[in-house]
Amino acid sequence: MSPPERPDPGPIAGMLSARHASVAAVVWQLAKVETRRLIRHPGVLAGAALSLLTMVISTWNEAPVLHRDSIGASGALLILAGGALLAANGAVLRPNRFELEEHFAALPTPTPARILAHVWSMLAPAGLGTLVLVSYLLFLAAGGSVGRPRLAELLVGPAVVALGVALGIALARWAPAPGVAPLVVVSMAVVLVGLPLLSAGSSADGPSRWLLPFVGLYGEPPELQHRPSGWHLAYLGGLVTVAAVVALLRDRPTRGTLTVAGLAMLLLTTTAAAQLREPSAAERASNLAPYVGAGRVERCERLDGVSYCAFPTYRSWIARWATAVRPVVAQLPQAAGSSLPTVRQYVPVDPTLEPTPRPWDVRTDLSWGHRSGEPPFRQSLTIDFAVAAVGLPPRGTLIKAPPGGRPGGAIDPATGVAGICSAVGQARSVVALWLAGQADPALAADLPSRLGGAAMPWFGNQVVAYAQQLLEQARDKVGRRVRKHWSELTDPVTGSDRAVILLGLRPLRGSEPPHTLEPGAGDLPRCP
Amino acid sequence: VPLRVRRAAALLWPSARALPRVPLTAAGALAPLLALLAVRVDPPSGQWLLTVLRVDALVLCVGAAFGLDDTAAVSTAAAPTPLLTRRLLRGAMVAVACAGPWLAALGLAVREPLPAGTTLPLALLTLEAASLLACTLAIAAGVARSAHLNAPGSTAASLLLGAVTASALLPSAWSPWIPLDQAERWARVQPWWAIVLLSGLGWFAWWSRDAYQPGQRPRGRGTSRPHRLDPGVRSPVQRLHRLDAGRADGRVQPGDEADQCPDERR
Repeated sequence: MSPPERPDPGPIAGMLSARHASVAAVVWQLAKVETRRLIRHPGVLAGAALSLLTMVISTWNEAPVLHRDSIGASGALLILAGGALLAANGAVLRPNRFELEEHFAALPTPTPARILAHVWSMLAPAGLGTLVLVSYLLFLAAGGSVGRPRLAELLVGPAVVALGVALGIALARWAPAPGVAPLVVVSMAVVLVGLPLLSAGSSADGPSRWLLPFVGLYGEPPELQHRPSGWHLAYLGGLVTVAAVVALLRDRPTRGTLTVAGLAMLLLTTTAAAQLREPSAAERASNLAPYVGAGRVERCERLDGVSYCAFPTYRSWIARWATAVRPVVAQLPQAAGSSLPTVRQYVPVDPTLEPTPRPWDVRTDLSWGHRSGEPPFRQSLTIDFAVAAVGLPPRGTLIKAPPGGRPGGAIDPATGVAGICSAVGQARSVVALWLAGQADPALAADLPSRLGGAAMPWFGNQVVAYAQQLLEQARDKVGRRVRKHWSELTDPVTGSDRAVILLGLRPLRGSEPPHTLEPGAGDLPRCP
Repeated sequence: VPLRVRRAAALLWPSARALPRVPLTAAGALAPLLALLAVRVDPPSGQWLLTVLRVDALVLCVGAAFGLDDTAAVSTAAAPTPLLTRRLLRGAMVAVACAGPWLAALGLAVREPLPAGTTLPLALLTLEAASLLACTLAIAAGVARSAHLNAPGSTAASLLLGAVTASALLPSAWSPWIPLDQAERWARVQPWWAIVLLSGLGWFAWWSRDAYQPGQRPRGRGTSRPHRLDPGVRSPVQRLHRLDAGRADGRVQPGDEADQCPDERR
């Protein structure tokens, strides 16, 4: 009779003493079993599926930006982390559920060895999380993405999943009651999602938020954020180790466990301190330097006579912007070609309340739509370009209000700078709206509602009605008239009554209401 | 007093003692605590309070998912009181246990002054919470029945969390979680929540039937094999009933094998 086959001792058993090697061999075997069970747990599989679904849904209508979306994707893995927490908790509580604790107590393998096997099984959901992330990034790359994902930000996702497993194990050891783990999952979801939203703009919105396992973007582009992602990844490593050690400390601690606990605490405090350090003003300035002011780094291209300037990462979006601008340029006369506005990418930083110099740029920011989300972005750019092409200040432009104007809601009383002006009764306003409307039938059908908001020139009802009259006529006929009378129509002093004659419109009766945005606000300054 | 009512009254205290206390107490404490923390935000918006109340409902339902956990289920299965009666009693006690913290959370929320024209739809929120609770109990009963578990709480709570997460991913037009500023959708979604509530209660009752009714062939996992091998096996009482029925409709004639049901002739 041949002796029974010895189990595989695992990769590290050869490096240990005989006693430790036998425990390591058992841990290795148990870890393999627990890993298989954990990866096939419905909570983990459903968590992975829901995480992937969240990633795809949340960015379905946005043009993919890998360095931004990789952060959101790591956040979506919180769902998998929740599922892994429940699964790991259930796995450790398995002997309790089936009343096997006494049976296990009679076995030569000590409880810490079984717990250690559970701890090792965290690699499986973390690996699954990595797989989900990579699949999502491949999906984004196939959709024409820009930018490059940051490795540290990406690895935060799987680290959070590992933390979920470690917390599930620790909870099962210290609070072995049913119901605790699901309640902890809900509470952590509230803390992780609710707290950053609540503290936005308050004192809690500082570096202390980096003590949470995951820190999202919350609407701000990653280019403008100080994100110590490398330190945060190390911090998460410390948290995972501490949680695992806490699970092991339920039994009599060994010297090895205490040593690991000490090292983990050291790692945790060091990395927490590194994250809590506020960036200096110089660091903030150097982060912002490539995006604002004279030091901005941009790449410009000329398409159809229009200059497009984008940050190097976003250069491939120029083709997307051109689809919005091309139909407007097609209706402009040759004479306008030399003074066409530049389409320029900006970061949404706080305005310095300095009037923007002429010629005005058409601004676009660090986001763009995709699939069904693209038309609103395209239509906004079409309107802005049409407005700027006739010489009106487009959205986001700051102008100096003329002296003597009554300061109100639209004019900063200290500086006299306004972010909106009145284009009521001007011929060029009618032309601008026709140029925008003829470029996109959907925009023409919805023109009045697209002109709301306080960040556009204020056109008034009469101008919009004239533009709608023009849009009902044949495009080529109107285009010929506009090109013929271009210089007169785009002169700021030409009124809409003159446009009625030049463009063959039906005159409207009645006067325009006062150019105020809200009761009590001062008159809007006239657009220069 | 009808026998059923007396029997239910006699079961009240033992059932209450058998309820799992840790999850219900933890959830009951956590829900008002979350509401208390939420109203300390300065100033809490209506939408924020609405979200917190929904989270409170979810927390209470997670605790309620463990309400059907019964380690004595194997012993009590043999008791003459039907499972449905025992489950309804437990369900009612769980609902009462959740009602207190829910009312406390609502009370904390309504104390907060909201912007003019903003009111929390408290009745509809309570309908939402009740529907979620009914679904939770139905899930727990379904898990207990289909997986033959005495403690379906963990699985039911996980399923509930997964379902709520999945529903949060639905497009806003299909989402059951209506934002505060869409008053017209609140009125439209109200009948749907009522349907969910009634369906949840219905499924809870359906899945709380005794697995083996008197005279019913046992079904389910682990019971089909012997009957597949020998389909003629029935209880003696059932055999007599079927014989009577056969005589009544003339299928059993004098001289037939009197001790054999008509469909058992070979």
